[in-house]
Amino acid sequence: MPMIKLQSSDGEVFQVDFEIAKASVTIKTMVEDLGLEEEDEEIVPLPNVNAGILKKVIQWATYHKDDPPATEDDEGREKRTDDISSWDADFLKVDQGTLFELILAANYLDIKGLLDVTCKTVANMIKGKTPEEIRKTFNIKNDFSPAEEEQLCYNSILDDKLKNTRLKTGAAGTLKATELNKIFRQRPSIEKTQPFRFQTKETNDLDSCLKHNNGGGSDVADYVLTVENLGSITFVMCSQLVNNYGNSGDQKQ
Amino acid sequence: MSSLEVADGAGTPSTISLDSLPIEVFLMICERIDADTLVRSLMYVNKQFYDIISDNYLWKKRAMHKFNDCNVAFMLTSAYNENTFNWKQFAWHTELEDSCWSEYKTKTTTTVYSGAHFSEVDAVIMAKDGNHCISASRDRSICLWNTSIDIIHNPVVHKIDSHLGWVWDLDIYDDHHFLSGSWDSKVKLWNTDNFTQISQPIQTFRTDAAVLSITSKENFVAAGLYSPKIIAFDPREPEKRLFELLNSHMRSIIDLCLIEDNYLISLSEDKTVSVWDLRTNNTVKSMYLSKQGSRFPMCASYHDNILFIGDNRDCMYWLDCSHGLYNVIETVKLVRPINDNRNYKLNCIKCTNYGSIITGGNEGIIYILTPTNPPKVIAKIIDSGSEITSIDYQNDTLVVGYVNSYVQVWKKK
Repeated sequence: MPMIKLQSSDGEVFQVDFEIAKASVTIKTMVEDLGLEEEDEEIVPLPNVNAGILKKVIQWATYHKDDPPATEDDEGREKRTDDISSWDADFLKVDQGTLFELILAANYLDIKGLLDVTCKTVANMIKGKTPEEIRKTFNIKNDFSPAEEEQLCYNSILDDKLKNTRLKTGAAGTLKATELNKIFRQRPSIEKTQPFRFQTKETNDLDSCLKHNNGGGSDVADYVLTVENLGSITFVMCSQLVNNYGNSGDQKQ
Repeated sequence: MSSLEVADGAGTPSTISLDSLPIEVFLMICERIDADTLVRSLMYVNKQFYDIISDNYLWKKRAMHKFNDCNVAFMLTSAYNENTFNWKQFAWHTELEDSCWSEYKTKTTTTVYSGAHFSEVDAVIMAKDGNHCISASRDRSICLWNTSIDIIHNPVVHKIDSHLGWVWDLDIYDDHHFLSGSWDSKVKLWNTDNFTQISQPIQTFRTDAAVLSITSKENFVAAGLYSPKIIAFDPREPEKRLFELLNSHMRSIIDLCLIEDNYLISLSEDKTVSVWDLRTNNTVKSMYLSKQGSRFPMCASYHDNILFIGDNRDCMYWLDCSHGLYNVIETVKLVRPINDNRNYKLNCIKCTNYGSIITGGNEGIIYILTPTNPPKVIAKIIDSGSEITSIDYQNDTLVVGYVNSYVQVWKKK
C-alpha cells in the first residue's frame, strides 16, 4: 500500500497511507501534480498545520477512510446540525482552540467531511444563545458603544415586530418628527415581549409604507406617523423612520 | 493572516477563536446556523459579525438556494428590485415558517374552542396583543377568546345577540376597536378593551342589505353588500355616507381589501375584481381573473405589493399591486389528487409574512404553502375536518373558524 510522508509546520513527519491522506483534496492534488511515486522519499510539507492538529486530522481521516465520498447535493438541502455521529462528537470533545484549528486545517487541507462536522459543532455552540452568552462562550469583546447598542436593540425589536404584524399608517393622531425626537430622548424602556400592533394596513414592508406616506420623499421633518396610544415599540418605528430618511442621500451603508 | 497563528507548537494555547476565523470559514459556520439565531443573536455580538450578517448578499444567496427552481411572488412585481429587496427578512421568514409548520405537531400547541357558538363561525380575527382573538357566528353572537396557554375560562366574553342576523365578517379598526358586519345589514364598531356581555357598540352603520365584507382604515369604514353595493362611512359621522358604489359589480361583494390606504379592491360573485381609487374616486380597473365561466374570487390577502386571491375552484391568483398596476402576474393551480372531480373552494387566504400563505376551504384542510409557483406544501393540517370559513395569522398565532361552530388556535412554541 502506498505511503506518503506529511510534514507539519513544526517539522514533525508523519507517514500516512495515501488512501487515507487523499481525504484531503489539497494533498491529493499536490501528490498528483508533483507526480509522487510510492518509493519517493519526497515529503509533502504542510506549513499551515502543526503536529498536534495534523495528528488529529489523520486520526479522523483514518476512522472515516471508508466513508462514501461526499455527494454534491447541497442544492435545496437543509443544513442539519443534529446529525453528528457519536464517534465524531467524542472526537471533537476538545478545547475551543483545537476545534478552531481543526476547522482551519480542514479548510486548508480541503477535507469536506471534517470541515462540515467541525462547523456544525461550532454552530451548535452558538444556536439558541443570546449575544452575551456567545461573547462569553468564545471570549469575544463587545465593541459596540452603548449608544450603538441601544440603536441595535431597537432595530432588533423592529425586525422582530415586523414579522407577523399589521401596520397601518394614517393621517390623524399623528406626531411631528421633532416631537418624536423629544419623546425618543426619554428612552422608553423596552420589553422584548411587549405585544405590538400597528393598525390594519396589511403590509410588513416598512419601506413601501414610508414612501407611500411620505409622498415619495418629502422633507423628513414633516414626516408624520400614527402614534395614538403609543407603547415604546412605536417609538422604535419612528426612530427608524427618522434615521432612514435622515441618512438617505448623503450616506449609504 | 490567521494561518500564521496556527503555526504555534502543539499544546500551546491557541489564539484562534470565532472572531479571528477567515471570513469564508465564518460564513460556513453561519450556513449551519438557523436564520433566527443569526438575526436575533449572533449579529449583535460585535461589529464584525454585525457587518457580515447584515450583508444583503449573504441572505440573497441563502434565499435563492431554496427557491432556484420556482417563481417567488414578491420577486415578480414591477416594484421588485434585486438590490433593494429585503433578503434578510425574506430568508428569515421563510426559514421560520418552514421550520415551524413542517413540524407543527411538535412546534405548535393547539386548542379547540367549542361550546360557545352553536352555529357556523364565519369570521375570526386576532385582536389586541396576539393573545386574544374574536369570532363571529351565524348564532348572532361574538366571542372574545384569550389564546394564552393555560387559560381555563374561555370565552372571556360571549356577546349574544350582538346583531339581529348572521354575523358574517370582522375587521380590526385600530388597536382598541373592531368592526362586525351582519346579515341584519348593519356594521357595528366596538371597543375591544371593554367589550363585555352588556356593552353597546360605539357606532352602528346602517346599510341597505346583508353585509358580506368590511374593511377599514383611520376614519374610514367600507362595507360590501349582498346587493352589489359598496358603502363607505366615516365613524365620526356614522349617519352620513362617504360614498356609495352602485355600479362596480353586478352581484354580491364577497370580499373587500384596502391597499396602501388609497385603493379599495372588491371581489364579487359576478366574477370580477374591481379597483377603486379613493383619491380620484374612479374605478381604475375591473377585470375577470379567469376565462372559465364558473370561477369567481372568494378571498384576498395583501402582503408586500402582492394581493393573493383565492377562488371557488381552487385557484390562486397573484395581483401585482405596485405602481397602481393591478395586473394578474400568476395563476397558481393547487395540486390535487388525479381524477378527483370534487370542487374545491378557497374560502379564506392569509399572507402576513414572506414565508407562508395559509389557505382554508370546503375541504376542511388548512394548507400552509410557500409563496411560490409551483407552491410547496409546508404543512397540511387536517384537524376537525369541518369546512373552514376564516383564518387569521398574526404574532405567531393562527386562528381558524369552522362551519361546525368550532374555533381553533395554533400557537408557535
